[in-house]
Amino acid sequence: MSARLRIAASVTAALTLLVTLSCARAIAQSNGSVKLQWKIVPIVNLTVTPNYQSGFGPQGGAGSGSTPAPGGGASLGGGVVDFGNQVVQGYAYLYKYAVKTTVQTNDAAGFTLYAEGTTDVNDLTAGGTQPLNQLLFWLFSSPGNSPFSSATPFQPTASTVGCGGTCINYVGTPPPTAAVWSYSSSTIGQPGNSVSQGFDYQLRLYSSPPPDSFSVYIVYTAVGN
Amino acid sequence: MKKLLFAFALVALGVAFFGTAQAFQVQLGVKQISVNFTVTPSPIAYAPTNATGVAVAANGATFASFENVADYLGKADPLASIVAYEPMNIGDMVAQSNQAGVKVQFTVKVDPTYQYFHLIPVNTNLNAGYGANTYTCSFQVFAKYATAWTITDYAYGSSSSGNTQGLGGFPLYNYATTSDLAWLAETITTSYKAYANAGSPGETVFAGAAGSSKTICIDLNLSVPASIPAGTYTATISYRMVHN
Repeated sequence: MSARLRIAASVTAALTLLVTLSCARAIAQSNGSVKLQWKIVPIVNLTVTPNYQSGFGPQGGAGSGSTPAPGGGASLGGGVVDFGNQVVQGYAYLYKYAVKTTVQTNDAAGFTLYAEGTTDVNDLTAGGTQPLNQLLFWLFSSPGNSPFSSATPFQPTASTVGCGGTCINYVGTPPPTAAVWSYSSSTIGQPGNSVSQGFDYQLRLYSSPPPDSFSVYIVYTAVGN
Repeated sequence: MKKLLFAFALVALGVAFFGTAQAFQVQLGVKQISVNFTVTPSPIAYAPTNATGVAVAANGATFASFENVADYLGKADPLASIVAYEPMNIGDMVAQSNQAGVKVQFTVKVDPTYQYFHLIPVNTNLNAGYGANTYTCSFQVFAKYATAWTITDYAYGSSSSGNTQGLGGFPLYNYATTSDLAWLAETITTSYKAYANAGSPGETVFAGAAGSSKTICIDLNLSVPASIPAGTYTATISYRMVHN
């Protein structure tokens, strides 16, 4: 047997002994315990459905000589909130069933829903903007709502806007002034394991903006409490 | 009998006269404006204390061994007692958010009466405390016509967030309850007057001679009773223009 073979045989024997001892040690401590710790990350899923119910669309403008109707961009359960082209300077309108928000969360403390405009209202005809907080207002959907019901103005965000103008990059949570709905417990166990809230919109044209086409993007953000 | 016939004739003549006088006035347009009032409790100065009794100064700094700001201010060297605080453990923050949006669009149609009569909001989203609140030039009323004209107003309605007050509630109420919202037309009137809330035609705000044009600021005065819960209230006022 060469010297190399003897060394290899010795190493093999030593490894075999080590493995055997290790197994014996492991078997001897098989009644030990392990403490496991983990965190459940709250899940918050938000769905926004425009024109969520039959009968959606604008109403109001009594005395203006025009009857408002949903524009071509609106469709049941989708599209945009389209007040159409029969809304008149100086008058107020209510858009029924504008948006339904649905939130699913396992956060035991619930969530807060925020909504802000990515900009002021954009004048697509002449350029420039009109103040969002003088034109567009929100209120919970209710059969008794009217163009003159109490409603809260949307504010343009002060945060940076991304996604081509369709999302807002918040540092921390959105501002308290943007809160539109708060729910204080997990939605697990609720019908569909989620909760929903419908919103109507008001368009107040009291400032008589020019006879142009306008648009604005409203972003909803759900944050676990 | 003759006296009775004479009395009837007088009444008929009166009706005919006033009816004719009414007919002389032509309504040019009616415009409404809504003003939002957010009523909040009066601010109360306080020094919030955390669960372990560590006082928090009004400026947000945290101090140990002071139960209130007055104790803190009484110390010769208050900063000597600043307690090192443990920064928030970012690793414990697991909040998630989710976003979705909706596009809103509309095309505005010209108001044919705009050149003669319109309202101009200046500041119609207002904060209010309990008691009296005054707002200078909340909105303006513009009027102009070739013949003599008159602007009247009346309370169109109230609403509240969550409908806590009902449609005939604070701040405009229904007649015969006096409105808690009063108006003053700058350069025209000199004292606040509660909005008329007995329906159309309401009360005269101002008038103009033939060919004249006026843009008048409307100041508002809102009195918030202690019985009114905090919340958002909307008052809608209707303005009407008639001309001869």
